[in-house]
Amino acid sequence: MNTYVLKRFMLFVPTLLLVTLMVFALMRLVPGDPAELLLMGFEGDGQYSQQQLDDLRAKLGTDRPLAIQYLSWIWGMLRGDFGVSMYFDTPISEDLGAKLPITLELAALALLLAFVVAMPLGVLSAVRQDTIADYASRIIAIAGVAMPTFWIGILVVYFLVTWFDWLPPLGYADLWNDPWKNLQQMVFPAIALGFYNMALIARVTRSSMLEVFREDYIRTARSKGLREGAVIIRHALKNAFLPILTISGWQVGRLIAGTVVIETIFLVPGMGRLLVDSILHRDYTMIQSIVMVIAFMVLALNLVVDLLYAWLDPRIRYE
Amino acid sequence: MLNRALNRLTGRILVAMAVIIALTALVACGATAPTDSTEPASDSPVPAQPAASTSGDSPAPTAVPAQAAGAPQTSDRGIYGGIVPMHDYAFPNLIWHPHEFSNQTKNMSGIYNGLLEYDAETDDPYDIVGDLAESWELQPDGVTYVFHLHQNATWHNGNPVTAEDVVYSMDSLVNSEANRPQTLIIAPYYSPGNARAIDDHTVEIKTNNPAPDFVPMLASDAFKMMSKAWGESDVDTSKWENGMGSGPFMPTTLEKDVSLSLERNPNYWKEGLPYIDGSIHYYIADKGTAIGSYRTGQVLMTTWPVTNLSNTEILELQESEADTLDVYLIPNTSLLGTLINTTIEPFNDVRVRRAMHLAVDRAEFREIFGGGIAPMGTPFPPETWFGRGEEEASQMPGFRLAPEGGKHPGDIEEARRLLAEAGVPEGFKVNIMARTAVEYVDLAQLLADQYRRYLGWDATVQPIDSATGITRYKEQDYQIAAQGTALLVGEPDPIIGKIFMPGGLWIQWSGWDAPQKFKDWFAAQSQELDRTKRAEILREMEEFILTEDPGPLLVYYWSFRDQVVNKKIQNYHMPASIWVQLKHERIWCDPEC
Repeated sequence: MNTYVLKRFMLFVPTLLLVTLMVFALMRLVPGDPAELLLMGFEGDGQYSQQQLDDLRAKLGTDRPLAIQYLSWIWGMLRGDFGVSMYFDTPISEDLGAKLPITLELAALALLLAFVVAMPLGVLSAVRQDTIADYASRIIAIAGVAMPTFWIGILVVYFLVTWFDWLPPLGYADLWNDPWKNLQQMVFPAIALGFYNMALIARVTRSSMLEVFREDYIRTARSKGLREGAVIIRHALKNAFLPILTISGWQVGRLIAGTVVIETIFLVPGMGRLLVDSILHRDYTMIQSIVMVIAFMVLALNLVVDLLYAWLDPRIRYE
Repeated sequence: MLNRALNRLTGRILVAMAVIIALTALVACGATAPTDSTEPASDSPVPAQPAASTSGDSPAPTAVPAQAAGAPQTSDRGIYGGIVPMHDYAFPNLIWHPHEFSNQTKNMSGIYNGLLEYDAETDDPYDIVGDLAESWELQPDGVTYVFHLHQNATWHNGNPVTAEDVVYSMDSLVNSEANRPQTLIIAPYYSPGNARAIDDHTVEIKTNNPAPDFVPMLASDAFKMMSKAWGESDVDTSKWENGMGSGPFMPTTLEKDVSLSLERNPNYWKEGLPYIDGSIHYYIADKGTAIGSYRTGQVLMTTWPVTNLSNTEILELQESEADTLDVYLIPNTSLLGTLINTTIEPFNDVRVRRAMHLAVDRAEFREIFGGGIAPMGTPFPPETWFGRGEEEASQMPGFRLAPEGGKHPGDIEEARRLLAEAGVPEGFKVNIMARTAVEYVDLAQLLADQYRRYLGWDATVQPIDSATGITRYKEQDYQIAAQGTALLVGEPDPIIGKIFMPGGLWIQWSGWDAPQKFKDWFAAQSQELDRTKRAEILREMEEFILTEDPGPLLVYYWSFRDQVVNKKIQNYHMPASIWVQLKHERIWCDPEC
């Protein structure tokens, strides 16, 4: 087990390096000089001299050879210094420090809501196979998988305005300072964000439960006279949980990526919205840093999920 | 037994789900309007005690402003108090030097005063009055302006506003070594060193030549005065928190991607102003959320007459919320059209550009994108003192319609003849670049469809992100593009200068070089103080564009810019352009915000 964990940790480095190379190269392949864009402004109205352009390029560091730019970025990150935003001229670490918790809160809430709804739905569907309850839950699940996240977000806004004449309050409230307002602001984006996950988890839960129900130990449990609730929760659900966990771990990456759209629709000032703005502004340094953070989180979560396998199922060992 | 267990489990699941739904509904129903309060930032400039007010002839009302919280106080004119939540569609950059004014920094307008301003309290949107200047006069030489400043005007730090500050600001506004996206537009009129202080409160400004558009431009919100001492100090004046002007508001908090808060300057030198205690500018990029915010009253107005909503969407919003919202449609300072790269074949051939002009179905553009009411796409804005009337234009080639509707067959015939003459074959491949901003992609799709229909061209649309598009414009790496522009004020020089004259942005992007006679006309009209004579020259210029060479631009229509205002907001008047009346010092809320 220890060897496995060590190997997994060792895989981190080349994977992350590959990500850094890809992000760096892709950003440079896209046309658009950040210095020019800063001077020209969003609408391209800005007037500037060549000297101003050269000065700004020097300040941003984009006048240096690409290899130097890349190495200096990597070296900075190794020291925990993500550099300075090209557009806002503020330390990126400060922005990430402020925005990352917001995005994580949103993702966590989305995942929580997804689990809370999906697990009972999946179990119900499996237990009541081929009944109206099953069909209903499958329709919900298929709809959730079929509808893109941004569309659900737009629908949620539409229904809140049309039916309740209400929208989450504007202006972000910190979870610890104003939890009630924070909840109002976060719960609907979390529903929109987690809807797909909910649907997927519900489907996986159903199929996994159906598979487990056919196992001998379930029959044995029932023959022993255990209450059906105990059979379902203690025996079936626990064993059906492995694929659910797999899919959930994989989905966290998608969830965080989904915040890009949802944060824009619901005005959540998290990392996703910052990424959208940064792309619009060609803020190379900011984009690189955000993508790196996301890549790191996805890799880390995958590792955690893999390790949880062993904890959940003692049969699994990696030697 | 199994069934009982299942029923119990199902029941629990249903209960759990019901609780979640109930909680969700509780959150929604129990919500209240936004309750943000603006906490002054500890490092924001702290105003000193105000200098004694000596001016009794301030243009402002004489009521006493409410200084304390609580029930709103009323004057004989308006109601004091309240924070106005506003909508802005894009988060600004953080470089907020007042003279780097761009469409990202309009939020700062309330922090500063100009020398002049457009009157925010009359129904004549072109009425110009003094702001820091109490009065001004043009000397008989036609180039010397003398401005008399208000004696009691003070900066936020309590220091008096002096003529030296104005001299400093004027030179800073045209400092070509610094980034001046908007203000260099007055460089043809004013050169550094041409302003001098006659005394502490009198300043003389000489223009390079007679310039009838100088005052209208100077009165726009792009031309703010700043403190010389502050500007020359070590303070980084490009930081938002260091915004230290003489205006009715002061910056308090900025939350990145969320909002900017301004609060009233308690020592504002204009007696009785502002009415409101401040404003919060929320950044709402998503269209649906923006519309929802207006509908639910979460925002009460746009920060300036530019939103991310199309004219059609705005008109629909107005119709659905007629009881609560007013929409001001500001004409003639914004247009949408085709930008042509005139440096490449076949677009360097004037016959091809004429054909393209003739083949545009402008009525269709106006109907689909302009809500059927957008002004006609003549080269100069229609129904202005220097543009022709729509009635007259609608009889002209390129604008006229067939009796049964649709493009006039004579225009199509002529367009095809011109193309044949120029050697452009049927099925010519044209790529229309469209930045993924505003409605450019949709506009380009319609243009492609029209060119397919009327010219037989193989037209395709290439959507491209905004930043890349600007780079390609600069490198003239495109054929034609759907593009719009917003103009500082609706006067001839800013419009023609930007689109048709050397140095203008569109000329840099299109490579079009106006013939000498056109440049001579421009210079002549720019210095002509007699408006009738000037209009005659401008008519000749427009005639040239319509009949000889359309230049780099084919206007589809003159777009309205939209200012959405909740009916709670009182004393808001239609502005002359998107760049004026942004201080919001004369609006109030009734009922209370």
